[in-house]
Amino acid sequence: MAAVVAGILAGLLAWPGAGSAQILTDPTQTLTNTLTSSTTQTLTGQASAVTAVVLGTVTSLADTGTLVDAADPLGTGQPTGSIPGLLSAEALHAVTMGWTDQVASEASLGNLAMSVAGIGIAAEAIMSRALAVSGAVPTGLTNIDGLTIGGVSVSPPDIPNQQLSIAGLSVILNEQIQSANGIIVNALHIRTLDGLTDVVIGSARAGI
Amino acid sequence: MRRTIYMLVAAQLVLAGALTAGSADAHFVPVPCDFITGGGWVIGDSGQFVNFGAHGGCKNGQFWGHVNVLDHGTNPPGHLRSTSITGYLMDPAFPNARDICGTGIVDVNGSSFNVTFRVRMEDNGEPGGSDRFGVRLSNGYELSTRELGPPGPTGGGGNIQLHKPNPSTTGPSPAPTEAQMCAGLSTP
Repeated sequence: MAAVVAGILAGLLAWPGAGSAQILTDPTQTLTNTLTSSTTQTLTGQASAVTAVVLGTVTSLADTGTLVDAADPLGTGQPTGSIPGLLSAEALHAVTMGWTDQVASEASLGNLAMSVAGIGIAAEAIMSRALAVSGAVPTGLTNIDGLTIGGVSVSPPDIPNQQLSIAGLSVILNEQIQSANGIIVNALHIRTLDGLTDVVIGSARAGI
Repeated sequence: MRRTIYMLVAAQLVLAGALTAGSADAHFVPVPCDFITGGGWVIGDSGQFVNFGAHGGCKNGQFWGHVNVLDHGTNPPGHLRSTSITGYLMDPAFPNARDICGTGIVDVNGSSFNVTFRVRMEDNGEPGGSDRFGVRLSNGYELSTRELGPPGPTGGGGNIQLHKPNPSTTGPSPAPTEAQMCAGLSTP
């Protein structure tokens, strides 16, 4: 299996189209936040360490919920988390914060171990960040340390949206979905080709 | 003149000592207050993985945040989970660092008990290898502050980010003393 996966990985990588799936809410679904009596900003922000859709059932681990107010930053965390039969992880953490001129969101976890369609995926640490600054192009950043897929070490690229096709799986590393007013950053996005399993590890959304 | 120079040198040494000795007055709540966030892992003194995810700051007149730390020095790993945040401090000697203090629960070797903790997080730029993390607990556990790396010498990975204040970032007024915020724990 390792050799097969290695061969597929060596053959890598198609660039994803614009139709990449989104787990978090569409960034165009914005909330209006009155910051002062004279200034109205529209903020979007959310982060989650894990969001999985398996056979139509959605499970989230360490999910901040939706940012609604610049004066109400949201954060959550848990020492360990698991979705039976799918994955386990440690030190799950998510936070989203707004300002009058920007939104920043961040999600991270450690010691990821998961199995999707019989393929083992592991990572020592994963982090995603999204930053939307008023008047500027939103930006994303991911850290993926110690990633292995099918027992083969994978070095994530510096560039976003690297897609791997592996024996029934679609894997996107550093997925960044830009919209008119924001960005969704998914550190690791794994889907089975039959569409029955869709997992995002480290998701951060920011828009203004 | 020589006496004046000696006095100036002595004053500088006293000041330097105050900044580096971790005295009770060396750390304070930043004004305006801000936020620090991050996650990753470092290598512990025994070569084990220590994973963490944490954020802290001030929010609407209170301290705010959450801390999780897992140390693989035991099997299963021991972990700290924060239950309240009681302090958020900066250290003028390390302006990119913030300390988060609070209470928490430790689960290790089948036991569960309450602790107070003090975590140091330091943002030294991107991509995060030079950022630093450490934690001290009231039961005597200490992970001295160290780089996440690479390229740091201790290995590990992840990223820490120091954020600017936002409209919510007011802490308690008046601010508690460092000893009150951190239950007498010094910086790890």
